Amino acid sequence: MSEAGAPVLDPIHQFHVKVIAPLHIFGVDASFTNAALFMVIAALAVVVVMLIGTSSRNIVPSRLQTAAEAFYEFSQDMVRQTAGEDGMRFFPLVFTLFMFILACNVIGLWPYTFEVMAQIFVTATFAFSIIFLVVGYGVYKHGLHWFNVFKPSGVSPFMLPFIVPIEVLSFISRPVTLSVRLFANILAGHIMLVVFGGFVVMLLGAGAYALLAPLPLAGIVLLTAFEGLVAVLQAYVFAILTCVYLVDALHPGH
Amino acid sequence: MGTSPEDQENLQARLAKLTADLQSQREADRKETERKAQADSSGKNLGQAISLGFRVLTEFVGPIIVGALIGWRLDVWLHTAPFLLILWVGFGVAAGFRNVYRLAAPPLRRSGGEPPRQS
Repeated sequence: MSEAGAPVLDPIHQFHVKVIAPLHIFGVDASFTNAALFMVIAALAVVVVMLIGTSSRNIVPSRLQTAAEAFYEFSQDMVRQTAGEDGMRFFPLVFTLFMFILACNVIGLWPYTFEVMAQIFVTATFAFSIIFLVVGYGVYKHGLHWFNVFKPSGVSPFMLPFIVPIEVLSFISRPVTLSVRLFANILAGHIMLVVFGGFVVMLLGAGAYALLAPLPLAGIVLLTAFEGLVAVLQAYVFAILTCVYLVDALHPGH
Repeated sequence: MGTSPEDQENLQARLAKLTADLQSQREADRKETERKAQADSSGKNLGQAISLGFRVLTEFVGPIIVGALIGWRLDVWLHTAPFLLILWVGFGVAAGFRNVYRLAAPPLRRSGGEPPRQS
Protein backbone atom coordinates (compact mmCIF):
# COMPACT_ATOMS: atom_id res chain seq x y z
CA MET A 1 0.00 0.00 0.00
CA SER A 2 1.00 3.57 -0.48
CA GLU A 3 2.91 5.64 1.98
CA ALA A 4 0.93 8.31 3.77
CA GLY A 5 1.46 11.94 2.90
CA ALA A 6 1.66 13.66 -0.44
CA PRO A 7 1.21 10.68 -2.80
CA VAL A 8 -1.80 9.34 -0.90
CA LEU A 9 -4.11 10.08 -3.82
CA ASP A 10 -1.81 8.47 -6.34
CA PRO A 11 -2.89 4.82 -6.42
CA ILE A 12 -0.04 3.85 -8.73
CA HIS A 13 2.64 5.17 -6.46
CA GLN A 14 2.71 1.95 -4.46
CA PHE A 15 3.98 0.00 -7.46
CA HIS A 16 7.05 2.13 -8.14
CA VAL A 17 10.16 0.05 -8.17
CA LYS A 18 12.81 1.88 -6.21
CA VAL A 19 16.47 1.09 -6.30
CA ILE A 20 17.84 0.29 -2.86
CA ALA A 21 21.40 -0.71 -3.71
CA PRO A 22 22.64 0.14 -7.22
CA LEU A 23 24.56 -2.69 -8.82
CA HIS A 24 25.76 -3.00 -12.40
CA ILE A 25 27.31 -6.22 -13.61
CA PHE A 26 28.88 -6.04 -17.08
CA GLY A 27 26.61 -3.18 -18.01
CA VAL A 28 23.49 -5.03 -16.88
CA ASP A 29 21.42 -3.15 -14.33
CA ALA A 30 21.10 -5.70 -11.56
CA SER A 31 20.33 -3.22 -8.82
CA PHE A 32 18.74 -4.46 -5.64
CA THR A 33 15.28 -2.91 -5.60
CA ASN A 34 12.35 -2.96 -3.23
CA ALA A 35 10.80 -5.62 -5.48
CA ALA A 36 13.87 -7.80 -5.04
CA LEU A 37 13.82 -7.12 -1.32
CA PHE A 38 10.25 -8.35 -0.95
CA MET A 39 10.93 -11.37 -3.13
CA VAL A 40 13.77 -12.26 -0.79
CA ILE A 41 11.49 -11.71 2.20
CA ALA A 42 8.78 -13.92 0.70
CA ALA A 43 11.26 -16.66 -0.18
CA LEU A 44 12.76 -16.51 3.31
CA ALA A 45 9.28 -16.63 4.84
CA VAL A 46 8.47 -19.80 2.90
CA VAL A 47 11.81 -21.39 3.77
CA VAL A 48 11.48 -20.51 7.44
CA VAL A 49 7.91 -21.79 7.72
CA MET A 50 8.72 -25.03 5.94
CA LEU A 51 12.06 -25.66 7.66
CA ILE A 52 10.93 -24.86 11.18
CA GLY A 53 7.58 -26.49 10.56
CA THR A 54 9.12 -29.78 9.47
CA SER A 55 12.16 -29.78 11.74
CA SER A 56 10.63 -31.46 14.78
CA ARG A 57 8.48 -34.06 12.97
CA ASN A 58 6.26 -34.71 15.93
CA ILE A 59 3.52 -37.26 15.67
CA VAL A 60 1.28 -34.70 17.31
CA PRO A 61 2.21 -31.69 15.20
CA SER A 62 2.72 -28.19 16.48
CA ARG A 63 0.84 -25.34 14.86
CA LEU A 64 3.61 -24.49 12.43
CA GLN A 65 4.08 -28.14 11.55
CA THR A 66 0.36 -28.45 10.90
CA ALA A 67 0.51 -25.45 8.61
CA ALA A 68 3.54 -26.77 6.75
CA GLU A 69 1.95 -30.20 6.35
CA ALA A 70 -1.32 -28.66 5.20
CA PHE A 71 0.46 -26.63 2.52
CA TYR A 72 2.40 -29.67 1.40
CA GLU A 73 -0.54 -32.03 1.24
CA PHE A 74 -2.76 -29.47 -0.40
CA SER A 75 -0.26 -28.91 -3.22
CA GLN A 76 0.39 -32.63 -3.45
CA ASP A 77 -3.30 -33.37 -3.96
CA MET A 78 -3.54 -30.55 -6.46
CA VAL A 79 -0.67 -31.87 -8.59
CA ARG A 80 -1.77 -35.48 -8.31
CA GLN A 81 -5.35 -34.77 -9.29
CA THR A 82 -4.50 -32.47 -12.16
CA ALA A 83 -1.34 -33.92 -13.65
CA GLY A 84 -1.62 -37.52 -12.53
CA GLU A 85 0.98 -39.71 -10.85
CA ASP A 86 3.75 -38.99 -13.34
CA GLY A 87 3.04 -35.31 -12.99
CA MET A 88 4.47 -35.63 -9.48
CA ARG A 89 7.97 -35.13 -10.88
CA PHE A 90 6.96 -31.49 -11.28
CA PHE A 91 5.67 -31.30 -7.75
CA PRO A 92 8.74 -29.45 -6.38
CA LEU A 93 8.37 -26.82 -9.08
CA VAL A 94 4.64 -26.34 -8.58
CA PHE A 95 4.97 -26.34 -4.81
CA THR A 96 7.74 -23.74 -4.92
CA LEU A 97 5.75 -21.56 -7.28
CA PHE A 98 2.59 -21.85 -5.23
CA MET A 99 4.27 -21.08 -1.93
CA PHE A 100 6.28 -18.20 -3.35
CA ILE A 101 3.29 -16.52 -5.00
CA LEU A 102 1.18 -17.12 -1.92
CA ALA A 103 3.85 -15.61 0.33
CA CYS A 104 4.32 -12.62 -1.98
CA ASN A 105 0.58 -11.96 -2.12
CA VAL A 106 -0.02 -12.35 1.57
CA ILE A 107 2.98 -10.25 2.56
CA GLY A 108 2.07 -7.64 -0.04
CA LEU A 109 -1.32 -7.13 1.61
CA TRP A 110 0.27 -5.48 4.62
CA PRO A 111 0.60 -1.71 4.63
CA TYR A 112 4.03 -0.32 3.73
CA THR A 113 5.03 -3.48 1.92
CA PHE A 114 5.59 -3.96 -1.77
CA GLU A 115 3.41 -6.30 -3.82
CA VAL A 116 5.74 -8.20 -6.12
CA MET A 117 3.01 -9.94 -8.10
CA ALA A 118 1.59 -6.60 -9.21
CA GLN A 119 4.62 -6.29 -11.49
CA ILE A 120 3.78 -7.84 -14.82
CA PHE A 121 7.46 -8.55 -15.42
CA VAL A 122 7.51 -10.91 -12.48
CA THR A 123 4.35 -12.80 -13.42
CA ALA A 124 5.30 -12.88 -17.09
CA THR A 125 8.71 -14.28 -16.20
CA PHE A 126 7.06 -17.10 -14.28
CA ALA A 127 4.47 -17.78 -16.97
CA PHE A 128 6.92 -17.79 -19.87
CA SER A 129 9.37 -19.97 -17.95
CA ILE A 130 6.57 -22.47 -17.43
CA ILE A 131 5.64 -22.50 -21.09
CA PHE A 132 9.28 -22.86 -22.15
CA LEU A 133 9.56 -25.69 -19.67
CA VAL A 134 6.47 -27.34 -21.19
CA VAL A 135 7.88 -27.05 -24.71
CA GLY A 136 11.39 -28.06 -23.64
CA TYR A 137 10.31 -31.02 -21.58
CA GLY A 138 7.79 -32.12 -24.18
CA VAL A 139 10.40 -32.12 -26.93
CA TYR A 140 12.95 -33.78 -24.65
CA LYS A 141 10.49 -36.51 -23.69
CA HIS A 142 8.62 -37.10 -26.93
CA GLY A 143 10.93 -35.67 -29.57
CA LEU A 144 9.31 -33.92 -32.48
CA HIS A 145 6.16 -36.01 -31.97
CA TRP A 146 5.36 -33.61 -29.21
CA PHE A 147 4.29 -31.02 -31.78
CA ASN A 148 1.29 -33.24 -32.48
CA VAL A 149 -0.19 -31.46 -29.50
CA PHE A 150 -1.21 -28.80 -32.00
CA LYS A 151 -2.97 -31.36 -34.18
CA PRO A 152 -6.07 -32.76 -32.52
CA SER A 153 -6.68 -36.36 -33.45
CA GLY A 154 -9.61 -37.18 -35.64
CA VAL A 155 -9.68 -33.97 -37.63
CA SER A 156 -10.05 -34.17 -41.38
CA PRO A 157 -6.97 -32.98 -43.33
CA PHE A 158 -8.97 -30.19 -44.93
CA MET A 159 -9.58 -28.58 -41.58
CA LEU A 160 -5.95 -28.72 -40.46
CA PRO A 161 -4.91 -25.33 -41.93
CA PHE A 162 -7.58 -23.76 -39.73
CA ILE A 163 -7.30 -25.93 -36.66
CA VAL A 164 -3.52 -25.80 -36.31
CA PRO A 165 -3.23 -21.98 -36.14
CA ILE A 166 -6.07 -21.93 -33.63
CA GLU A 167 -4.36 -24.51 -31.46
CA VAL A 168 -1.02 -22.72 -31.79
CA LEU A 169 -2.63 -19.41 -30.85
CA SER A 170 -4.39 -20.90 -27.89
CA PHE A 171 -1.05 -22.34 -26.77
CA ILE A 172 0.89 -19.13 -27.29
CA SER A 173 -1.71 -17.09 -25.47
CA ARG A 174 -1.37 -19.26 -22.36
CA PRO A 175 1.62 -17.49 -20.83
CA VAL A 176 -0.04 -14.17 -21.64
CA THR A 177 -3.30 -15.03 -19.94
CA LEU A 178 -1.52 -16.76 -17.08
CA SER A 179 0.61 -13.73 -16.27
CA VAL A 180 -2.06 -11.11 -16.95
CA ARG A 181 -4.59 -12.88 -14.74
CA LEU A 182 -2.37 -12.89 -11.67
CA PHE A 183 -1.01 -9.41 -12.35
CA ALA A 184 -4.39 -7.79 -13.05
CA ASN A 185 -6.14 -9.32 -10.06
CA ILE A 186 -3.47 -8.20 -7.63
CA LEU A 187 -2.97 -4.81 -9.27
CA ALA A 188 -6.68 -4.00 -9.34
CA GLY A 189 -7.16 -5.01 -5.72
CA HIS A 190 -4.28 -2.92 -4.46
CA ILE A 191 -5.35 0.11 -6.49
CA MET A 192 -8.89 -0.23 -5.13
CA LEU A 193 -7.60 -0.29 -1.57
CA VAL A 194 -5.64 2.92 -2.06
CA VAL A 195 -8.48 4.62 -3.92
CA PHE A 196 -10.88 3.85 -1.08
CA GLY A 197 -8.27 5.10 1.36
CA GLY A 198 -8.10 8.29 -0.69
CA PHE A 199 -11.88 8.62 -0.42
CA VAL A 200 -11.65 8.56 3.35
CA VAL A 201 -9.03 11.31 3.37
CA MET A 202 -10.92 13.45 0.85
CA LEU A 203 -14.23 13.13 2.72
CA LEU A 204 -12.60 13.98 6.02
CA GLY A 205 -11.30 17.18 4.49
CA ALA A 206 -14.64 18.12 2.93
CA GLY A 207 -16.46 19.77 5.80
CA ALA A 208 -19.88 18.32 6.51
CA TYR A 209 -19.24 15.42 4.17
CA ALA A 210 -16.83 14.08 6.77
CA LEU A 211 -19.86 12.29 8.18
CA LEU A 212 -19.72 9.98 5.18
CA ALA A 213 -16.07 9.11 5.74
CA PRO A 214 -16.77 5.83 7.61
CA LEU A 215 -18.48 4.41 4.51
CA PRO A 216 -15.36 3.96 2.38
CA LEU A 217 -13.53 2.94 5.55
CA ALA A 218 -15.98 0.06 5.94
CA GLY A 219 -15.43 -0.58 2.25
CA ILE A 220 -11.72 -0.94 2.91
CA VAL A 221 -12.38 -3.51 5.61
CA LEU A 222 -14.51 -5.56 3.24
CA LEU A 223 -12.06 -5.13 0.39
CA THR A 224 -9.15 -6.21 2.54
CA ALA A 225 -10.96 -9.42 3.38
CA PHE A 226 -11.75 -9.91 -0.28
CA GLU A 227 -8.14 -9.23 -1.26
CA GLY A 228 -7.05 -11.87 1.21
CA LEU A 229 -9.25 -14.32 -0.65
CA VAL A 230 -7.95 -13.14 -4.02
CA ALA A 231 -4.34 -13.43 -2.85
CA VAL A 232 -4.76 -17.09 -1.94
CA LEU A 233 -7.06 -17.92 -4.83
CA GLN A 234 -4.82 -16.45 -7.50
CA ALA A 235 -1.81 -18.29 -6.17
CA TYR A 236 -3.90 -21.47 -6.32
CA VAL A 237 -5.17 -20.71 -9.83
CA PHE A 238 -1.65 -20.02 -11.05
CA ALA A 239 -0.39 -23.27 -9.59
CA ILE A 240 -3.25 -25.40 -10.85
CA LEU A 241 -2.98 -23.98 -14.36
CA THR A 242 0.74 -24.69 -14.26
CA CYS A 243 -0.21 -28.31 -13.60
CA VAL A 244 -2.76 -28.30 -16.42
CA TYR A 245 -0.18 -26.96 -18.86
CA LEU A 246 2.45 -29.42 -17.69
CA VAL A 247 0.07 -32.23 -18.61
CA ASP A 248 0.62 -31.18 -22.21
CA ALA A 249 4.33 -31.75 -21.79
CA LEU A 250 3.74 -35.20 -20.31
CA HIS A 251 0.94 -36.45 -22.56
CA PRO A 252 0.80 -34.47 -25.77
CA GLY A 253 -1.65 -36.81 -27.45
CA HIS A 254 -5.07 -36.46 -25.96
CA MET B 1 -40.26 -54.53 42.77
CA GLY B 2 -43.09 -52.31 43.79
CA THR B 3 -43.35 -50.18 40.75
CA SER B 4 -46.92 -49.22 40.28
CA PRO B 5 -48.29 -48.84 36.75
CA GLU B 6 -48.45 -45.11 37.46
CA ASP B 7 -44.73 -44.94 38.10
CA GLN B 8 -44.14 -46.99 35.03
CA GLU B 9 -46.21 -44.57 33.01
CA ASN B 10 -44.42 -41.62 34.48
CA LEU B 11 -41.11 -43.10 33.53
CA GLN B 12 -42.33 -43.80 30.04
CA ALA B 13 -43.48 -40.24 29.67
CA ARG B 14 -40.16 -38.84 30.89
CA LEU B 15 -38.29 -41.12 28.56
CA ALA B 16 -40.41 -40.05 25.62
CA LYS B 17 -39.92 -36.39 26.51
CA LEU B 18 -36.18 -36.90 26.81
CA THR B 19 -36.07 -38.65 23.45
CA ALA B 20 -38.01 -35.88 21.83
CA ASP B 21 -35.77 -33.22 23.37
CA LEU B 22 -32.66 -35.05 22.28
CA GLN B 23 -34.07 -35.45 18.81
CA SER B 24 -34.87 -31.76 18.47
CA GLN B 25 -31.46 -30.83 19.86
CA ARG B 26 -29.76 -33.10 17.35
CA GLU B 27 -31.88 -31.67 14.59
CA ALA B 28 -30.90 -28.14 15.58
CA ASP B 29 -27.23 -29.12 15.74
CA ARG B 30 -27.39 -30.71 12.33
CA LYS B 31 -29.11 -27.67 10.87
CA GLU B 32 -26.54 -25.41 12.46
CA THR B 33 -23.60 -27.31 11.00
CA GLU B 34 -25.33 -27.53 7.66
CA ARG B 35 -25.95 -23.82 7.66
CA LYS B 36 -22.34 -23.17 8.60
CA ALA B 37 -21.05 -25.48 5.89
CA GLN B 38 -23.31 -23.82 3.38
CA ALA B 39 -22.16 -20.34 4.39
CA ASP B 40 -18.58 -21.57 4.19
CA SER B 41 -18.98 -23.09 0.79
CA SER B 42 -20.99 -20.17 -0.55
CA GLY B 43 -18.11 -17.87 0.38
CA LYS B 44 -15.70 -20.29 -1.24
CA ASN B 45 -17.99 -20.68 -4.23
CA LEU B 46 -18.18 -16.94 -4.67
CA GLY B 47 -14.41 -16.69 -4.76
CA GLN B 48 -14.15 -19.62 -7.12
CA ALA B 49 -16.88 -18.23 -9.34
CA ILE B 50 -15.13 -14.88 -9.52
CA SER B 51 -11.82 -16.49 -10.38
CA LEU B 52 -13.50 -18.73 -12.96
CA GLY B 53 -15.24 -15.72 -14.51
CA PHE B 54 -11.99 -13.87 -14.73
CA ARG B 55 -10.35 -16.94 -16.17
CA VAL B 56 -12.97 -17.17 -18.91
CA LEU B 57 -12.44 -13.49 -19.67
CA THR B 58 -8.67 -13.76 -20.00
CA GLU B 59 -8.80 -17.06 -21.87
CA PHE B 60 -11.11 -15.46 -24.38
CA VAL B 61 -9.37 -12.12 -24.77
CA GLY B 62 -5.81 -13.44 -24.63
CA PRO B 63 -5.74 -15.32 -27.96
CA ILE B 64 -7.45 -12.43 -29.74
CA ILE B 65 -4.79 -9.99 -28.63
CA VAL B 66 -1.97 -12.40 -29.37
CA GLY B 67 -3.50 -13.20 -32.75
CA ALA B 68 -3.85 -9.51 -33.57
CA LEU B 69 -0.22 -8.91 -32.62
CA ILE B 70 0.97 -11.81 -34.76
CA GLY B 71 -1.14 -10.70 -37.72
CA TRP B 72 0.01 -7.12 -37.39
CA ARG B 73 3.70 -8.00 -37.25
CA LEU B 74 3.33 -10.45 -40.16
CA ASP B 75 1.61 -7.71 -42.16
CA VAL B 76 4.42 -5.28 -41.46
CA TRP B 77 6.94 -7.94 -42.35
CA LEU B 78 5.29 -9.24 -45.53
CA HIS B 79 3.64 -5.96 -46.65
CA THR B 80 0.25 -7.60 -46.90
CA ALA B 81 -1.70 -5.25 -44.68
CA PRO B 82 -4.42 -5.69 -43.62
CA PHE B 83 -5.25 -9.22 -44.72
CA LEU B 84 -3.08 -11.22 -42.36
CA LEU B 85 -4.25 -9.08 -39.45
CA ILE B 86 -7.85 -9.89 -40.28
CA LEU B 87 -7.05 -13.56 -40.73
CA TRP B 88 -5.16 -13.84 -37.45
CA VAL B 89 -7.74 -11.92 -35.49
CA GLY B 90 -10.24 -14.45 -36.85
CA PHE B 91 -7.96 -17.26 -35.66
CA GLY B 92 -7.69 -15.47 -32.33
CA VAL B 93 -11.45 -15.29 -31.89
CA ALA B 94 -11.75 -18.95 -32.82
CA ALA B 95 -9.01 -19.87 -30.36
CA GLY B 96 -10.74 -17.79 -27.70
CA PHE B 97 -13.99 -19.64 -28.23
CA ARG B 98 -12.07 -22.91 -28.24
CA ASN B 99 -10.53 -22.04 -24.88
CA VAL B 100 -13.89 -21.11 -23.38
CA TYR B 101 -15.43 -24.25 -24.79
CA ARG B 102 -12.61 -26.28 -23.30
CA LEU B 103 -13.25 -24.66 -19.93
CA ALA B 104 -16.97 -25.24 -20.10
CA ALA B 105 -16.90 -28.80 -21.47
CA PRO B 106 -14.12 -30.56 -19.58
CA PRO B 107 -15.23 -34.22 -19.64
CA LEU B 108 -13.38 -35.01 -22.87
CA ARG B 109 -9.97 -34.01 -21.59
CA ARG B 110 -8.17 -32.31 -18.72
CA SER B 111 -9.63 -31.45 -15.34
CA GLY B 112 -8.97 -34.48 -13.18
CA GLY B 113 -9.05 -38.05 -14.24
CA GLU B 114 -6.44 -39.68 -16.35
CA PRO B 115 -6.35 -38.49 -19.91
CA PRO B 116 -6.36 -41.33 -22.40
CA ARG B 117 -2.81 -42.23 -23.25
CA GLN B 118 -1.67 -42.50 -26.81
CA SER B 119 2.09 -42.44 -26.93
